[in-house]
Parts: sequence; structure tokens; C-alpha cells
Amino acid sequence: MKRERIRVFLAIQAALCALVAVLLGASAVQICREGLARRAEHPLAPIYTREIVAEKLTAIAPLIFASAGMTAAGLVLGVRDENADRPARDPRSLRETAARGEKARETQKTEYPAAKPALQIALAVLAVGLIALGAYHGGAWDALCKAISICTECVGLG
Amino acid sequence: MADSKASRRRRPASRRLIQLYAALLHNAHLKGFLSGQIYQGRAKYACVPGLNCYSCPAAVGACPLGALQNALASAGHGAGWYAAGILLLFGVVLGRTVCGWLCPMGLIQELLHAIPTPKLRKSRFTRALTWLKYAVLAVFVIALPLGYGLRHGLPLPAFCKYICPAGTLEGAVGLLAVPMPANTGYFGMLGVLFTRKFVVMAAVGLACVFCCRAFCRFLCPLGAIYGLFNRFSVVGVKVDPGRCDGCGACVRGCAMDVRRVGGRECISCGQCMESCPHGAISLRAGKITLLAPERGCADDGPDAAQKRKKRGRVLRGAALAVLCLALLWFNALDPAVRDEPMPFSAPAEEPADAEPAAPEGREAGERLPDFALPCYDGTTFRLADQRGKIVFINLWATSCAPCKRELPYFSDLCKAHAGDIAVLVVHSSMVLDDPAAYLADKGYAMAFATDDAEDTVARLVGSTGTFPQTVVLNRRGEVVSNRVGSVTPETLEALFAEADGG
Repeated sequence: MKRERIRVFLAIQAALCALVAVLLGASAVQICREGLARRAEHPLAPIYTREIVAEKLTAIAPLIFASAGMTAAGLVLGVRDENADRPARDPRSLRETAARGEKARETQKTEYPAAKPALQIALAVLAVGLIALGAYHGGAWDALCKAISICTECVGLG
Repeated sequence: MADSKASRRRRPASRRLIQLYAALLHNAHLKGFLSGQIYQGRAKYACVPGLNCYSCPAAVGACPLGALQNALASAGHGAGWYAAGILLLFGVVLGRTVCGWLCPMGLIQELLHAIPTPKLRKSRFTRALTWLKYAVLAVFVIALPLGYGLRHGLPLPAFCKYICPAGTLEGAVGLLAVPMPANTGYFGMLGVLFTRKFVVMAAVGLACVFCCRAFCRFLCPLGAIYGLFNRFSVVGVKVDPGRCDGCGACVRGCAMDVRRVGGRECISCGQCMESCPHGAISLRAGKITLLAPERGCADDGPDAAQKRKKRGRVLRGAALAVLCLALLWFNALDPAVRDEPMPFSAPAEEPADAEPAAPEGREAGERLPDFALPCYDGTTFRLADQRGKIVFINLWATSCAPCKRELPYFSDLCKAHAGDIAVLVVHSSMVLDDPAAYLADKGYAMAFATDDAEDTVARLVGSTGTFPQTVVLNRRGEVVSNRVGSVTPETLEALFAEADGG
């Protein structure tokens, strides 16, 4: 019975999460479509405004609060999907693991390679060399210039 | 059994604390969440190890992926070696330990996965999906920025622009959430691109609720890069061959799509340490054991556990000191974060019968103070000399693709209203590629200049380092519009008409 209740709880929470994500995405699309229609009439009309976004968020807020409340309750009560604790069910992976295990038991030696200090040192030296070469060609300045300014297109602002 | 359960609970908790610590260190400029401005200090010369958008108001370092894409876009001058070298260094030293312990995006994904819902377990399907991130790396991080840069001479950080949920969440939403006037202005530029990225972010977030670290496993190119070095990295979970009998308990119990401990998908989270019945797995840095199972490692001496505890105490103390220093430096002491007074003067005394002058400022209805800037053609642009004309001031940078794309629109506007308009295009004082050389053969009709070392024009128009920015003044020199973001020819004509009507 308890297991049944947990399943129902998890299913409701899953539906809530999916609904919140879908509604958030759908609201963004709706705001964009309405805004583009406004902009077709007036080029200076904004597509998004703080007010429109707040209005849409307010409409979804009860679902977000319900989901947050259920999350808090679930965490306090220790409700979780028991299946998540079960071992993986990838047959190929498990077959390979079993074969490796058998081989290891036969040879008394695992196949995982030991760390290779010489390779590590060589790669680290190469990395330092590349950093120095890049910095010489202005790479550090390049990184700084991009990092201290906001390219609106790059972060998705527009 | 009870001990094992307790240690299983303890291990993720201590890792979670380190993840929180790393996220705070990546984003130590907390002041940015109040001021709405990003950190513009010299710490951003360095790239951080995790995926953390450098446009986040709190970010104090450069994103290695962003730096790499932008460097590839300007592939001609070899600057890309810098970002590549940093990625290689992080890869060799830490490998995907970065993903499991340091990446802020990893922490966000794990918190989302903690929401109690039915969970999708790993399978052949999820294992196959892990190859997707290598395709994302090849196409969006390397091929598109490099190809577009070589073909069009414009930077296109394709992963940032089309996919990166860290950019949308930390950069875009982070900037929009700050209730400052400049940040409210960002709403005006949102459009199709933001909508698309927001939907991608919502989808990735939802996937992370049901599937452990969905973004990290299937899409993250940074994880793909670090994964290539996992087997050679200095830090990582290592298996003691003497103790391992290959039972596979580590692989079966792992949430990631690993085939073996320390393989390309292993994030060294250490969960397998406790699931190994032989205590064969430990987190190591070379020969030093950083974390070991409760029952200890094979090479443990009699007082190894004591030594580890002592070392842990010292490390915790040092880490706390570093965090305090970082918070102090990035919020108060760094010259880049000190508040500077507004460069506006009080309105001059006007004769009693004269029309009262608008107060100096940069907002609509205020009068932009006078300034003079030497132009590339040898002339000097003085704002006071432009009274009677509609004035457009555009802030740009050669590293900004939308800035370059909209320059022809300004040129066309200038030609269409010749004699009635003055357009000044000001390049940021942070010069990456010579703007004069870039403009040499373009034949644009506007005046071009580079801002002076004090960033006079940028400060006058209230630039927050966001490009492009366009300020429109009416014939009396009063601000009609001050907006960040790209413009279209229609927008420019509408702005001209608005300024003319005013």
C-alpha cells in the first residue's frame, strides 16, 4: 500500500514538473508570437516586457509552488524512486563487466591501466606551451575582451 | 551494513558541499546580482574549469568553451591556442573530476535530479546518446565558429548562441532577473533567439529531473573534452588492481554511462567507492589518496586515516580562507568593482526668458553631456557641434557579430538623411582587432572612433559592456532612446522619425 502511495506521489510530481516545463516553454512561444505581431505594426514595439513576463509567470506560479511543495515534502519524507537504486540493465555493459571480472579472477589482475606519469608530464608541458603561445598571440587579451563585455546574441538575449 | 549506508549518505553530502563551494568561487562577484552589471576585472583573463557563463552577473572568470569558440572564430592570429592549452591543462590534471566536483552546471543538474519523480535508469539507449556530445563539440564548438569566421569574418559562438543552457540561465535570465533600469532595458531586445534558447533550457531542465545529469551525459562539449583525458588525468578515481576482482558492482551501481571506472564517462564522483565490496576504489591525485572508502585503501599505513583527516582539516581551512578572500576581493577591493561617480554636472544657469534646459543624463528626456572624440578620418566629433541634427551614437566592438551586421543599416540611414543626421560609431576601448583596418574597404558613411582610455562615451551613455548599444538624440541633444541590442533598418527609421517628431 505504502509503495502504491509512493508511486502515485512520484507520478503526480512527474506530471507537475512536465507541466511546468511545457507551460514555461509555451508561454515564451506565445509571448514571442504576440510580440512579433505587434512589432510588424510598429517596429519599436517590444516583444517581451517585464509586465508581460510577470503576468505569464503569475499564471503558472500555483503549479510551480505546488511542485516545490511536493518536492520539499518528498525530500523530508524520503520519498524516492526505488528503481533508481537498482543496478543498471544495459545487457551489453553487464556482459562486458562480467567478462572482465572473469578474466580478472583468472589472471588475478585487472585490466585498468595504471597512471602514466611520463604521459601526464608531457601533456602538461604541452598545455603550458600552448597557453604561452596563445598568450603571445593575444589569446589572454582575446579571452578578457569577450568575458568583460556581453555579446547579446551569444547569451541568447537577442 | 549500517556503516555502509551512513557513509553512502555522507559521501554525496561532502561532495555537494564542495560543489557549492566551487559554484560560489566561480561566481564570487555576488554584488553583480544587486547592481545588474557583470564583473569587468582582470581575473577574467583566466578561464574557469567548469561550464559557467561569463555573462552571469556574478561570474569572475572566462568560460573555457566561450573563449575557445571566439578564438576559433578569429582563427587567423593563433589566439585559440590559449583556450586550447587551458582546456588541455584542466583535462590532464583533473579530467572529468571537474564535472563531478567543480562544475556549477553539474550541481544545478544534480539538484534538479533530486526532485522526487520516477527516474530513467541508464541503458543501451542512454549509452548511445553519450556520443551526441562529441557531435555537439565537433559541430557547434569547432566547425561552425571556425567555418563561419573564415568565410564571413564574423564570430559565431554557435554552442553559446543555440544551445548552452548555462548561458541562458546564468547569463540571460541572470541579467533579466536584476530589477535595475539598465537590466529592464534588456527586455526590449528579447525575441525569437531568446524564445528558442529558453525552450531549449526548459527541455534540458526537464530532462535533468528524470535523467541524472542529462545535459552532462548527452550534450556538454566540455565534458566531452575532459572525457578524452580521463584515463590520463592526475586526479580521478583509481582502481587498486590487487583488490579488484572485476565483480562489476561499481559499474552496475553508477548513474553515469560508464563501462569501467575512470572511463570517458566517469565523473569521479566517488559513489563507486562505497559500492565496491573489496574497497578497491579511491579518489587519488597521483600517489596521494584524497578520498578512500571507509574501510581504507590497500596501501594505507597504520595511521593513514589519521593523516587523511589531518590533511582534510588543513585543506578545509585553506579553502575557507580562499573563499573569504575571493568574496572580499571581487565585491569590495578589486578596482574594477568600485563604484565611480556619475560624470554628470548640474544644469547650467539659463537666462530667465530661455527655455529651461533638460537635466544632464542618459535616460529619455535628459540631455547627454558634451564630449569630443577624434575620428579615424582625422576629424574630431564634438557633440555640441551637432545641435540641430538628429544624432545616433552606436557602441560596437569588432568581436561582436550583431554589431558588425548592423553597421550597413546605419550607413544607409546616414545616406538617406544626409545633412540632417550625425552618426557616430564608437568602438569599445578594448580593441581586439584593429577596427580601422576592418572598416577600411567598407565605404560606410558614418564617423568612426574608438573610445578613449577612460571610456568617456561608454560611461556617458551608461554602457554595461553590452553590445551593440544605440543612443538617439533629438535636435536639442536630448536622449530619445537608449537601447541595447541589435537594430533593423525599420527600427532605425522609426527611431529617426521619433527623434524628429520630438
